[in-house]
Amino acid sequence: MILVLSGVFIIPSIYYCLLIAPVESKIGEFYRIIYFHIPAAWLCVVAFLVSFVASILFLSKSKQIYDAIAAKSAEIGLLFALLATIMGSIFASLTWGSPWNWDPREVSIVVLMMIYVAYIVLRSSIQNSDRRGKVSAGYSIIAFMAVPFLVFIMPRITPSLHPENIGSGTLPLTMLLGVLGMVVGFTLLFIQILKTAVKIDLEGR
Amino acid sequence: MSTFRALFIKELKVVFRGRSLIGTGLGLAITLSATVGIVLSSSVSPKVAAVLYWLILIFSASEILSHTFIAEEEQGTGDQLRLRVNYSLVYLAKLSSCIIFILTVALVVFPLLTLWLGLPLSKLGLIGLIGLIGCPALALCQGFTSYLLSKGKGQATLYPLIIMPIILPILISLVLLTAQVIEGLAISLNLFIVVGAQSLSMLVLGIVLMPYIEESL
Repeated sequence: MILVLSGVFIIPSIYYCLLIAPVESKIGEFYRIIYFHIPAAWLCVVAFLVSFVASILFLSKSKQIYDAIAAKSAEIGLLFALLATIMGSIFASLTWGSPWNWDPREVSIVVLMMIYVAYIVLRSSIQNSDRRGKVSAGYSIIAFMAVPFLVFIMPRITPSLHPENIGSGTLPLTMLLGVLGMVVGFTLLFIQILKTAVKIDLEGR
Repeated sequence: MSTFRALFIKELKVVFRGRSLIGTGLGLAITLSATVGIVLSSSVSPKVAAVLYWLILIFSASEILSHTFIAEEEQGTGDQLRLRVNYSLVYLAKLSSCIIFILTVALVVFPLLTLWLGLPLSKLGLIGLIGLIGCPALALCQGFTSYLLSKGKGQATLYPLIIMPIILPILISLVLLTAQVIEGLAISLNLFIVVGAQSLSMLVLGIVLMPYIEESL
């Protein structure tokens, strides 16, 4: 059901974003990558938030499902962070002339990826499942403490090249519609992927 | 309170009596500072100098900060302590001794680097003030992660990989603050708030989460 619903949002949104949404006057057709970059960046934060909440629930209730949700959500979040970085680099090389500019947002997402790579390495290095669950839940909770700083604070206290059209509300409505459609569709797709990944993980335990 | 005091004194003795520990920390701090001073002398920009202050401090202190928690589990003395006292007190005593140790290393690194990098000695007071806030913040951020690693049994080799991303936001803030002081710019209050908020949240999270992790392991 969720998969069908995500398709209902994603397929028309992709059609709209690639073929109907107006061309950006300065960047041209290349700007359309933002319709994929923004949902990927959004979903990595959502996935890390889900991992954080599931870790709290696992520590308080000790149910294996929460451990599985925390682990799988972090892995999916890492994948979306990687996709957001690659698409952001393509956008950066087309607009600013270089794929890497030491922009605070670029640095932030790489640090976030380092944190969650560390989380996955920590998980995979502990054999005992209960110990692995507790230790990695603790790490996931403190790791998430860095997210507000990296995502919301750092880009605002240091000079950034990154456009802030959505945050400042200056994105034209015709483009915002495409972004929202993609965000909703990909969020539903994330829920479906997470459900499937958790189910497989629990069956393998 | 007397239990905490006894644990704190025990931790201080472990950190400062162990010749290899104090030797590693301070020895590394002086060697790195001297190397940087000789090679770079007065040719570094304020931002590079700020990075050097904190990187040398972190590398010199990390051996002790990781060892404090992990050694207790490796030697099996952690279980002995759990039988007698609330482990949150042990955690706080360890954190306090880590703060004292990292401040001691800073007391050596900061003046040496200021002198050897040819920076004005008048800046040392403000740099020291940032150190007074930054060193406890770094120790608090590393504390709970070190504790988690110690629970992972034998994961000490993962220490740099696991801990560095966690302390990076605080490290960046401290470097930016120190660079502002060296350049003579106005100090950003926002950065102080970031350092304070994150270190405080780490301390609170450590105390709140520890019983949940302890109860099942």
